[in-house]
Amino acid sequence: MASRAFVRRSIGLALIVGAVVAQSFAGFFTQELIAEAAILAIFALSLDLLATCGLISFGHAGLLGIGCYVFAGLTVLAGGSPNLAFPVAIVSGGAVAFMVGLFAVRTTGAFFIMVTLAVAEMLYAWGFRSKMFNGADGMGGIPRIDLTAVGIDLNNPGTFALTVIVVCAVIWLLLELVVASPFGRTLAAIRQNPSRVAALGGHVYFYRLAAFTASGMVAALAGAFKVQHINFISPDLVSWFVSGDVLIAVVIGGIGTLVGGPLGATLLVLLKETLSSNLGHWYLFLGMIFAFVALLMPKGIVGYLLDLNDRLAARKRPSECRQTERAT
Amino acid sequence: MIALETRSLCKSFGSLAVTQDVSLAFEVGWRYAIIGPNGAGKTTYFNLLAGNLRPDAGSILFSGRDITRLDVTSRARVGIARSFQRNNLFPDFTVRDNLALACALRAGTARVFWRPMRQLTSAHAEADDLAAQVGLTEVLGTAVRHLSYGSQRQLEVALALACKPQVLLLDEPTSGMSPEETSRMRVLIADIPRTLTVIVVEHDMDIVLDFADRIIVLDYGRVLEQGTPAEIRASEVVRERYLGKSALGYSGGHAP
Amino acid sequence: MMSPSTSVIHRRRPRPPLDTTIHGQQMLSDPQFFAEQFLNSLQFSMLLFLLAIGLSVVFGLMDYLNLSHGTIYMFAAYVAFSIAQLGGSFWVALAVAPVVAAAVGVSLYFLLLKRAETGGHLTQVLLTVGVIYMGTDLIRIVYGDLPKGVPQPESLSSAVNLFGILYPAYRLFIIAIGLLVMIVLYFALERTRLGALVRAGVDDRATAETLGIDIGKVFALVFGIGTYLAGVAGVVAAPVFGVYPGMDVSIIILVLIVVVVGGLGSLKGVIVGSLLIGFADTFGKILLPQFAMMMIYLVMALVLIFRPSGLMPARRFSASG
Repeated sequence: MASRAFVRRSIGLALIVGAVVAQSFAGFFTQELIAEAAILAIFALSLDLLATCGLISFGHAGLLGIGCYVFAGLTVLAGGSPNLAFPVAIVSGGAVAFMVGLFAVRTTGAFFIMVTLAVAEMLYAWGFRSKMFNGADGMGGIPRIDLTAVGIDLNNPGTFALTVIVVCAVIWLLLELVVASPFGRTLAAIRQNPSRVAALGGHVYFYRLAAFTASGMVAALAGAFKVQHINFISPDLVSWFVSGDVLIAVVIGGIGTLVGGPLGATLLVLLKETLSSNLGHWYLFLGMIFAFVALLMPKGIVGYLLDLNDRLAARKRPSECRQTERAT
Repeated sequence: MIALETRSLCKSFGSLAVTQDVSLAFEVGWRYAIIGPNGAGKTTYFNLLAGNLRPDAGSILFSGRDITRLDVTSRARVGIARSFQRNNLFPDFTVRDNLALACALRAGTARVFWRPMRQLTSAHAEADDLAAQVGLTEVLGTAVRHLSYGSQRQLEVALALACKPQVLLLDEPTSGMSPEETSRMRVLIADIPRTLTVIVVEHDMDIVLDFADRIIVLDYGRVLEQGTPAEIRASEVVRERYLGKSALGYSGGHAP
Repeated sequence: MMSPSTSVIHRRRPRPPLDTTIHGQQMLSDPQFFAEQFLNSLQFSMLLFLLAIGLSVVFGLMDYLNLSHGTIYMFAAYVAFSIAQLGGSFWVALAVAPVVAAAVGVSLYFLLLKRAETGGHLTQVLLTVGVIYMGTDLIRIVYGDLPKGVPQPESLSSAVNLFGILYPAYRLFIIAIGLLVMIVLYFALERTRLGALVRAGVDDRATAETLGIDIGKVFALVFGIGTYLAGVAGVVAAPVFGVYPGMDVSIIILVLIVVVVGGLGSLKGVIVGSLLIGFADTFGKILLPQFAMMMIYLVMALVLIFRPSGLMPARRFSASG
């Protein structure tokens, strides 16, 4: 029977192939939708990386927002090159996450949730009043990365969508490597039992800080893509509804499975689009779907599939199933 | 040579003094057992030694170095490892993963993020050795949450051993075990190399009298008595306060 | 930000209109103005308290993160609106709506929320966000998108002369209700059997259960009382803030902050948290109008940095794990 890692990676591969194929046949509108889903998928990956060590952020939009504001500021306000602004935005996300993390990762559970929310809301409050970025009304004219030198025109919606998909896939593969590494396994150990990791001589605080910093970089990357995609920046991008959306995407997909985030992100974007264009009161149905997932698949869709796979394995070969439990 | 020493150690929770002026020295390579009735402050004293709790007063010395202010992690790194009274493992990991991670944490390779865990061959080889040492080779690939209680207790000790400590603190290693599992644990503990200093909190007097070079009796947070097993059994105070009739009768056949 | 937008869910909390013609620092030196703001803060704190106490005890007792607590608050406000439409007085609404709210809350708990009791916080978040979405849209289907007003009771529509300060009687009434509930809850928790059971359950659930306490029943009762008080908050808030779809989401974050700042599961914690956040919010808007929203978050961040388990938690939590 298939190992858990195999199931997860198959789902990821299917998602990537599906997105690439869909993108190549899609019209403008669907391509935009795919790009939106892929950006949310990157954002979801960053949240799930953090969840690997047991920390749940309810202010992840703040880190996304760092990417948004740094990229928009450097390009539109400072007139800098978007190609330079992009890496700077990513590094800034990491730097801010590191500084916030110095204090935030001392707390856990509901308290970490609220601290991250607080920090994100402070950025929101700043963005709301910021004259530079035209406050709550927002600011447009954000350029996209210029890759015409290598024959890629990101202003073409299809090309942009494809690029985001590729970046998302690369990040996913990198994170797959990280969670399988000693570092990633230590994060998973911290999620299960932080006090034991400490008793074994592991610096829980530093591992959490490192995970938060890395997560901040990925989130900021998603943010830099977000403002390029919608060509616009406003504090709404930092609002806690954005944090809530990405959290819900990860929970629907299956937290701690890595691939669950992108799956949940895709479903959420498609669901919202389908429901809102076909139904008047679509939040009612969205709410019902959330409730159904929460009650029927509390571990999310991927978590549900993994458990199903385990049960099938246990039924078919009761003696061998234990061997497959190694990889998670 | 003294491995670990506490000087006038005190700890209170509110108005309840659970460790009162405890001064003890633990010689390198010796086996110690801490006994005492429930609520005597044994686990609190352990938590103070391991760094899970901070003392209100007094100091702790490790090989002559003051470690009173070091946290759990730093104490593990200088060479104090502990097992827990309640199983405190990584339930989603297999036995091998539990042990390999502990070895990687000790060896400082746990922060490697660019290579897969399975490539840490030395950590895995060491994990297999440890599993063999405590008798868990059969279940190396089993997730810990599916493990029997007794095997989890064994893994609890093996994780502490994985730290390659100089001082090993074992908190009730046989609690809740069946007689068969208990006897296996006895052998396991007896086989721990003499280079390590071992301090055990244990209720089973049989094990204590058999295993310990010295026994420390705690009562209401104070050291009531300390000495060799023979001395402890001969002690009037201990007889009165702790051992009682049944325990004495039980241990009667185990003269050293 | 206060204009009704098409996406009701995505709207922020409206604030009571403030007379902010002069600059904040100057205003505070005016004793009349200071006293008014003090009372405004107190009034807002009391609303937060009424909402937060249910959430906090449910969180403390069952470790249940119920984000849909605010939906009950919104629901009660709409019931109050309907009663006013039908010609009923405010007092009828205050008597009826919280009871209806508690009934709906307890049914919601038994039908839906109970199933996620052991599922962890994230499942609870997903489920209760689902409930929020459903609740908001149901309200929109029945009442439409536009904000509605609920009249103040006539007997409280005048201003009271309080040591030379003219202050709306209705707002004093809100403060009085809050204080009354605090006192009643204090005695209920400290002096009654139910209170002892609740405290035992919050303190150590496992032990309480081994002592033969049916925590499930205690919890249902606590849930009922919590939603009743959320209902009271909804009714008394309606004439001040108006009723609109999404009013639940606007306030739930503030309520969560109160709970976290105060520490889970303790009455004292909720009282301290409500006062802190109520005052930080009101005075933040006066002192630093540019960064008004930042103020409460700053307070929370500071509290959690120095007291990672909140100011007065009922239970000792380990912060570092």
